[in-house]
Amino acid sequence: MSEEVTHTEHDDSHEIEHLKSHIKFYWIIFWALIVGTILTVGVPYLIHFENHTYNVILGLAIATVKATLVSLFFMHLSAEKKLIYGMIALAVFGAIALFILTALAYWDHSLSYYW
Amino acid sequence: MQIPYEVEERPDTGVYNAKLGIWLFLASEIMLFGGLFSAYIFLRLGAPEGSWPDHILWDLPGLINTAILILSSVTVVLSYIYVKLGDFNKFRICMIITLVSAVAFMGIKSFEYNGKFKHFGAFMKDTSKPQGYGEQITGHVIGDLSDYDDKDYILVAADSRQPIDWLSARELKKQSPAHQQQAAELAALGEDAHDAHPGPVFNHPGIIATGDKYKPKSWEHKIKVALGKEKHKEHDVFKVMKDQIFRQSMFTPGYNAYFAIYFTMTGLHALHVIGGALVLGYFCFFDHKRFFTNRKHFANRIEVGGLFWHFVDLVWIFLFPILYLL
Repeated sequence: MSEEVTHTEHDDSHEIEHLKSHIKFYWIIFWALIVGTILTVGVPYLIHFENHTYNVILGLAIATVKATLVSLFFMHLSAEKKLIYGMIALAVFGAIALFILTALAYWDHSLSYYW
Repeated sequence: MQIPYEVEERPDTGVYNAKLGIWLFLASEIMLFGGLFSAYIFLRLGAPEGSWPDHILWDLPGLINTAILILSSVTVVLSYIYVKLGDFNKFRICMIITLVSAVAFMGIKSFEYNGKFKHFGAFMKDTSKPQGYGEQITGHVIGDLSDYDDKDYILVAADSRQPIDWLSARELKKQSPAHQQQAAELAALGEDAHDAHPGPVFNHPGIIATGDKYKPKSWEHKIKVALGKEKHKEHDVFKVMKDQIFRQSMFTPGYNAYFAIYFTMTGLHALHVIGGALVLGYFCFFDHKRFFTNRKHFANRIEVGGLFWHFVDLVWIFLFPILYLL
């Protein structure tokens, strides 16, 4: 019995240390996201790309990195159950399917009257 | 009746039921916003060359709102950590910062919406174009639009930078004497002649320069002037002949495809902000007793509410660059 109690107490203090270390980490992520935002706004002013497409690609790349940070760490997707990953994968597949369906309609010349 | 597995994990799924529920909901949200992002992409691809607005929105409010949402995302995840650590006061402070952020976000958003609804634009008739219209004038109507009901023209203080230009119009502007003179002056000073910006020049017969100046009263204009983003303190006033207008409206969703998708996406996103704030506010002010009676359950609730809040932040991370910057 006494052994069990000691064990739990040890677990608790370990858990508390673990949680406290998270707080600092979340602030690091916060600053990373702020830097990413400033980069997205600032880069087009600093670098004048000949082709606007490069701006679009860079902007979306930074946004994707930021979204990855939020989902991995704030939404705890860095360590989540298999079932949750499966559901997200299915949803992303659904979103891509919607995109492809729109793309097919967009490039369907028989519908060109409507564009 | 006790709802099963609201605290403990369900053995077959490995998560408590509310977490499964919120992820199912977020999965549907991914597809909802995914569909809207697809709509944005194809509206943009399908727009006639040069007609998709470029930098039409002022990026500063969007930038501030991005920072606000990122901050609230951190405070919501910290409030979850403090529930687990058993620190009620810090939990509450973090949650209140999150709620204040939500209110600030909505305040800035309504400031932006309000500015758009007071912004006027008209597409001028042009029979040489297949779409029936060519040049466009945007700005602020002097007085009220209803003041011009019995007149055959509208007085518009044109924006110093006409945001949506047809490429041909943009090229024509460079040939205008005012533009060339300013470009030459800049070049003589050794500066970039591309910065020449004498104000708007129109080539459409239905847009007549009056020579008058007008100082816009909006806060947006005042702040832009103070920050040096707007070099023209006063805007040139033009007489826009009504019989030459192809169509006109305020910057509402009906103005063009860009504003249609802008208002749809940001409006839906704003509804999510309101919904998320209501749920988190309920946890913070009405459900807080649970912190002391069943802390594990309370932590789960905060986690689920937080997951939704992070998703709202996630959507904004993409909305900001595509609508404001690119």
